[in-house]
Amino acid sequence: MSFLTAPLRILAVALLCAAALIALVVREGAARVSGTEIVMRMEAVDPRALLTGHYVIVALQEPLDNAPCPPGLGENDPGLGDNAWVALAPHGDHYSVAGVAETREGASAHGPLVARGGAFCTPARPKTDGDDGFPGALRAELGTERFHINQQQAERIDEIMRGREAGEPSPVSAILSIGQDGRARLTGLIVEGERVELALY
Amino acid sequence: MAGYKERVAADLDRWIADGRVDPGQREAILASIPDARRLDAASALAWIGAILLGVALIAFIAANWEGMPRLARFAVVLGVFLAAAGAAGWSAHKGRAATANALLTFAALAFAAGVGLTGQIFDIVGEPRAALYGSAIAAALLAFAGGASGPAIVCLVLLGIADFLEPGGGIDQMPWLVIAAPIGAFLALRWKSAPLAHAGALGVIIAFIWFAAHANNNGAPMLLFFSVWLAALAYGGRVLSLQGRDFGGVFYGWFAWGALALFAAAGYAGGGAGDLGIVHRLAWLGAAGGLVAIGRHDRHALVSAAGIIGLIAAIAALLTDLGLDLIAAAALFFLAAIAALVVGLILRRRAKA
Repeated sequence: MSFLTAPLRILAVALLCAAALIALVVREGAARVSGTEIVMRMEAVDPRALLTGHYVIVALQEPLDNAPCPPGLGENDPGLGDNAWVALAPHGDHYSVAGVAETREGASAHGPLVARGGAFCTPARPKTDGDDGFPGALRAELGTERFHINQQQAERIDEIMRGREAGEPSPVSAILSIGQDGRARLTGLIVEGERVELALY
Repeated sequence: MAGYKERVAADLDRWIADGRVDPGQREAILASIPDARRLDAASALAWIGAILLGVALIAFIAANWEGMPRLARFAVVLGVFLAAAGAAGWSAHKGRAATANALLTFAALAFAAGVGLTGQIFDIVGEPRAALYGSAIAAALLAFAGGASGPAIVCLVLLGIADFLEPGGGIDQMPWLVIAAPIGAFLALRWKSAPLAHAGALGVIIAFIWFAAHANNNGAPMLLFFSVWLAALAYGGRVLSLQGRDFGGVFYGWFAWGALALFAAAGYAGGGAGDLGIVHRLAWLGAAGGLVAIGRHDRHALVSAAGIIGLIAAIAALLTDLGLDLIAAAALFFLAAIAALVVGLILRRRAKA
């Protein structure tokens, strides 16, 4: 690098680093806009004020309502962890996990949309004399665990979730954008019908 | 605490009183020693003022962070990084190498924090490892651009964290430290930076530990293998140190520590050579005793300390292995003591010859 003096080299590297960071933001923003928007049910909302600021934990989970676990998530299926492909299919007013496979092609057989990540199923348990039973639960992990939000909104969401009666459907849903690259990006939340989205200004 | 010049003045007065030094030379000798740099009151107040201003700025931004639009927050992140890098460039232009180094170190850290904050501001999903590797590359570029050791150390630390973030990764995923740590050690020699020499040496040891940790069921053989490698590197460092080369002693000390630590760990790790029992503990005791002897001989505190700590740990391990069988422990330590005395005697005879 003898063709430049040290101050110029430092300046050039600093500008390159800043440009890389700006390019990352622009690229992610474009991918979020161009992706297919879906809504998924979520649970366990919790505002936090740790080092990274206030955020809502996005647990993409919903009850199975005594239905069997989707393909790839049965008791006899090998666990694929969170590095697999998750098929997503419309289910009423939202999207649900429709199956899991090791490859994108394999997952595409189970649903119209596929995303990188993992899904986990807790099978339903019938009601017996000594057991109240369990309707089963389906959880997706698509790398969208947090939605950063201001303190006021985070606390409001927390209050709404705490006021919910047991067994009631969640009043908060997650808005995701599934990109061509198979990555799920969080776009916002729907809180009691109101959209809370990522605003730049 | 008296400075160097004050200590020399006191020694000179003693030597003059003993008649070893001509009193007429006193002032000339003292004049040849530069005064230590002292911060005058005005400069000290300027530094305190600058620090308080920085703290006030940080507190102001933190207090308004949530109320700021996302783009404004991103501008602050970029602004802090660019300001630090710009100030570093200006310092380099003015020939203030130490200030430029400090500012580039801050810029490297600001960029790493900026990557994390950008992810938070725009809710960008990403792999923490990729963010750390990206920040490490930026730190490395800043180090090369400014010929600065500080960002190079930041780079090694970030790579060390990133390499260990994937506990399930196989041995096929080479840790970046394997390449970066030797480069860091090379740059330490080139830039004459002691802190970078320490970081480079530790980076090499950590890279070896990474391989041993990812060796699945072959941890013990791998640890023994790398222990031998580190012993060879320690020997190389010793040769450089005896030749009076820069930082040879740093590499000698850390690699000696690493070799002994990995050898000790090999006795407890899994794999074909796992839990080697009493033989391993005795060899450990011998190696630690050897390090104490060679460390004292070379007047190398770090090597001596490695040997002493190793001795204490090996004795504790032996006692643990033998349970409460104090007779067996006494017999083993007696044999070890005889061996140490015999070796010491042989070495003394050789030295006399």
